[in-house]
Formats: sequence, structure tokens, C-alpha cells
Amino acid sequence: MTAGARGAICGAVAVVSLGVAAWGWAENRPVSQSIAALVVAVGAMLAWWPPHWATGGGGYRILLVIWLPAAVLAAFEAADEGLAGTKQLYGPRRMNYADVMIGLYPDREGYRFLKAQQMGLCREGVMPSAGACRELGPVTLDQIRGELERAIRTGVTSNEDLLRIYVEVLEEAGAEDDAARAKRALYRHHPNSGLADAKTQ
Amino acid sequence: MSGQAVMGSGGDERVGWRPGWILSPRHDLAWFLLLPVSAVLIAIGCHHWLPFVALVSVNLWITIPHHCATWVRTYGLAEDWQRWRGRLLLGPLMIAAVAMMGHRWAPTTLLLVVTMWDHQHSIMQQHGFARIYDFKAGTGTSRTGRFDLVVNWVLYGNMFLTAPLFVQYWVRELFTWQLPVGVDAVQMLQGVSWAVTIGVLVAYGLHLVGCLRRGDGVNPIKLLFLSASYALWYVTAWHTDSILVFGIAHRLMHGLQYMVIVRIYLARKARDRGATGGGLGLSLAGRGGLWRFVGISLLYAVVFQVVVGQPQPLETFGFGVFEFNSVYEAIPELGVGRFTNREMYALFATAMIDAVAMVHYYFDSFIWKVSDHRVREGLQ
Repeated sequence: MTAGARGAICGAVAVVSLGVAAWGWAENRPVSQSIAALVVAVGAMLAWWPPHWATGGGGYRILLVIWLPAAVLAAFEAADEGLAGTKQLYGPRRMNYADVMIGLYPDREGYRFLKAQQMGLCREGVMPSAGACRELGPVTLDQIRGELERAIRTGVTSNEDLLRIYVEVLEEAGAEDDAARAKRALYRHHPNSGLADAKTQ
Repeated sequence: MSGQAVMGSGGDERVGWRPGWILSPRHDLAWFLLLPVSAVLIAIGCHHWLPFVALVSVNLWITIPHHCATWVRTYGLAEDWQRWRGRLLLGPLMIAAVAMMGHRWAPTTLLLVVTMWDHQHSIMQQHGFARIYDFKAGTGTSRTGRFDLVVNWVLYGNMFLTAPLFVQYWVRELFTWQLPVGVDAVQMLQGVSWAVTIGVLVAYGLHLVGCLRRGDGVNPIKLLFLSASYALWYVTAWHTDSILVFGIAHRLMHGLQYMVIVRIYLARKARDRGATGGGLGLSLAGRGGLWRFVGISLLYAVVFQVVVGQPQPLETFGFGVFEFNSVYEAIPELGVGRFTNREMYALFATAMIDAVAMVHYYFDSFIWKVSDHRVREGLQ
């Protein structure tokens, strides 16, 4: 195939794909459709580019290696129901994020935070039909607090959510002094956290 | 004698162990062999005595300046600017646009890309240093580079697959991307990973023995350097589940070693070509250049933080020891509220942070190739 023919075909594909992307955007079609069309357009333009663009010496090859798979993932993410929600993460019986991590590392107390999150979601009725919730049965605030305190005793302070949820649990339990102490710890370690913002409202 | 060895010091004597240094024994000991140990101790100290925001401070005072070193090397060196002008102009625009779009429409994907590119970038930096060690000592064969690369990827990959610190992230990502895994599957994967790692290390050992027997030479300093680097990563990834310890130790090692190699590169280029007429980069290599280099790096860090850190609190400047929160208190009695358009600004700031990091990763993918003779000039 001559360079001219390749250019014409790739150019046509790129123009049509860009048109589809723009139409999808204008018509409020799913974002994944526009992204998929953009990926095709970019692929056509790259194919039209002189062949050496993708070979040797770094250059654009690394962008291609990284961004093409990323574009596919982005289209999946942008699709409706593409990523798992909380229910799918913590809801299934046994095969859920919390129980897998605790099963893998039973001696690492830091992962009790995940159990506390799961228990909290069950207690709030966020996922009432979930197998994990049925297995847990009725969950009390004290049980959640106990799980959180096991995680906090490890001394790991990187988990902002752990400290934030602990504050919320203590406040709900009416333990005001403990809540104030936990809040101070949260502010100290994560001054940019959502609760730190709330303090200044 | 291998091409690798010929390209090196020029010494043709066929020997076994042949130490070679990037800079000098004293400097290499400080920056490449003992720095990882110091970094681990500092990180553990921060874990015990400082709040979590210390990690952000290390990011500000070490990681951000090490990005600046890339800009000095690329935009500040006339030679590099002339060689790669197209990429240096086009790359940041493309990456910034993708970062903005990613934050808007596919934030999880963007986070994955930045994270995985960061890991790849870390592996390749240590691999690059290993290549420099062989280049300086004139050791190894034409296959040694491949062996080094495989060892780096396998060791780092094994840590990623088996260390609890990382397992919690990728298992979560698998669930998020609707690929749930069970305990048995993860443990089987980890078993395979350990088996592959052991196999690759045995093969690497045999390759080194072959190099010693054939007289191609082995640089023991390179092996010590790799051991120190992976000791830092493995120890911190297993010691605690705190990303603070791993993050601080890793960023200290990665950032400082990067800035040191840029300084060495600029000094060698200035020595060969003179400190004038070569761009801002070479002017930072001459007399008093170290202080100008440090000054520019720190100034860049401050400006970067002021640009992307507002209206976030300024604790980042002080490792959480100093509190600046009151600066941003609302004053209801004066009718002064919090900042408006906060979400828009947050989008801009986070996109900027990711875009700058990715431009740094991108530039590093082509400006440090030891196989490039003009890059080697700056390392000799």
C-alpha cells in the first residue's frame, strides 16, 4: 500500500471516528462510546504517522504502551456499571475484599478496618441482601468500634478513612471525650481531610 | 571482551571482580549504598514521631525538586533541548490534556496509570544505575543488561505481588474492576511469583559466575547497590502496612539519587564543554553551582506547592509540626466564607500533580539511556 493510500484511509477513519465521538457527546450518549471513538481516531492517526514513530529510542513508544491499555480501561470505567460498587466489593459471602485480605494475612490487625467497614455497611442497611451481611447477623456499634480499635492499635496512621470513621462511630456512641481525642489525631495526621475542612465551616 | 566492557573504562585486562564507581568510593558509599539504610531509619523515625502529613512533606521537599532536576536536565541543557525539542514541547501538552480528561471522566484509570508508571519508573531508575555501574567498571557481557533488567522487574514484581502493603491495593483494584479473587487464588499466584523469583536469581547467579570465569568481570558495587535498593523496598513493604514508611524511604532514595546523578551529569558536561553557552543547566554545574541547584529546586518546590496546594492547608511545608490551619478559617462575622469553586480547583490541582509526575516519567524514558553515546559522555 502506498503512503498516500494509507494516509487517505487512516484520515477517513479518523474523521469518521471523531465525528462519532462528537455526535455521542452532543447527544449525551454514554461517555464510553465517545472514548471508544476517540481511541479509534487516535489509532488511525498513529497508523498514518511514519512507521518509525513506534520503534526504538523510547520517544512515543512508551506513551503508546501506557496509554492504549489505559484508554481501554477508561472506556470500561466510563461505561455504566463498569466498576464495582460498595455492594460488590464488600457484599458477597467470603469472596469479598475484607474477608480475602483477612484470610491472606490473619495476623495483620490493620485489615480489621476492612471488616469494620463491612460491618458498618451491613449495620446501615446499605446492602441488606448481601451474603456477607447475612453471615454477620445483627451488628452493634461496639463491635465496629472494637474492629477499628484493633486496627488503630497497629500504630499505622496512613489510613485517613480509619480515623474518620472512628470519630463518627465514637460520636454516634456518645463518647464525646474519646471522639474529641480521635478528632485531634485525625487533624494532626491528615490536616487536609474532609473532617478538618468541616471544622472550619 | 564484550561490547559493554569495551565501551567502559577501556581497561582490557580480563579480571573477575572489578569494582567501579559512579562518582567515587566516598560519594557512592554515601548516596548509593548507605542512603537506603538511612532512608529506612528516617522513615521509621517519622512513623514513630511525626504525623502522617510528613509523607506529603517529603514529597514536597524531595520528590518535587527531583522533578525540577528533570526540567533542568531537559529544558536547561542546550544539547538536550536541541535533540528532543519535539518531544519536550509536545509531550507535556499531551500528558496534561490526558491528565485533565482522566480526572474528569476516568479517575480510577488515571490513578492506576500514574501508580503503575511510577512503579515502572522506579524499576528503570535502579536498572539505569546498574547499567552505569557496569559501564563505569567495564564489566559484563552484551547479555548482562538484559539479565539486570529481568532481575529488576522480577524482584520488584515479586514484592508487588507478595508484600502485604501492595497486596491490599491490587486485590482491591481487582474487586473494583469486577475481577474478584479468593484467598487460594492469591496464594497460588504468590507461590508462583516466589518460584519465578528464585529461578531468575539462580539464573542471574549463573550468569555472574560465567562472567567471572570468562573474564568479562563483575562489578561488586553494582550488586551491593541493587541489594541495598531492594533491601529498602522489601523491608519497608513487609515491616508495616503504612504507606508512610515505604513512601518516605522510597522517595528519599529515589529523589536524592536522581538529583545526585543529574548533578554528576551536568558537571561532566560542563567539564567537557565549558560552563557557558550550554544553557541554564551547565551554569548550575560550575563554581557555586550546587547552591544554585539546591536553591532553584527548593524554590520550585515552594512555587509548586503554592500553586497546587491552595486552598489546602499549608501543613505540608512543616512535616505536620507547624500548624497553619487558622490561615484558612472562615470568618462568619465578616461574611467571609471558605474558598469558592473548590471542586474546580481541586480538579486542577490534582491533575497538575499527576501531569507533572507523568511528564517526568516520560522524559526519563529517553534522556537517560546509557546505550546513547552522548548520554555516556555525561557519565564518564
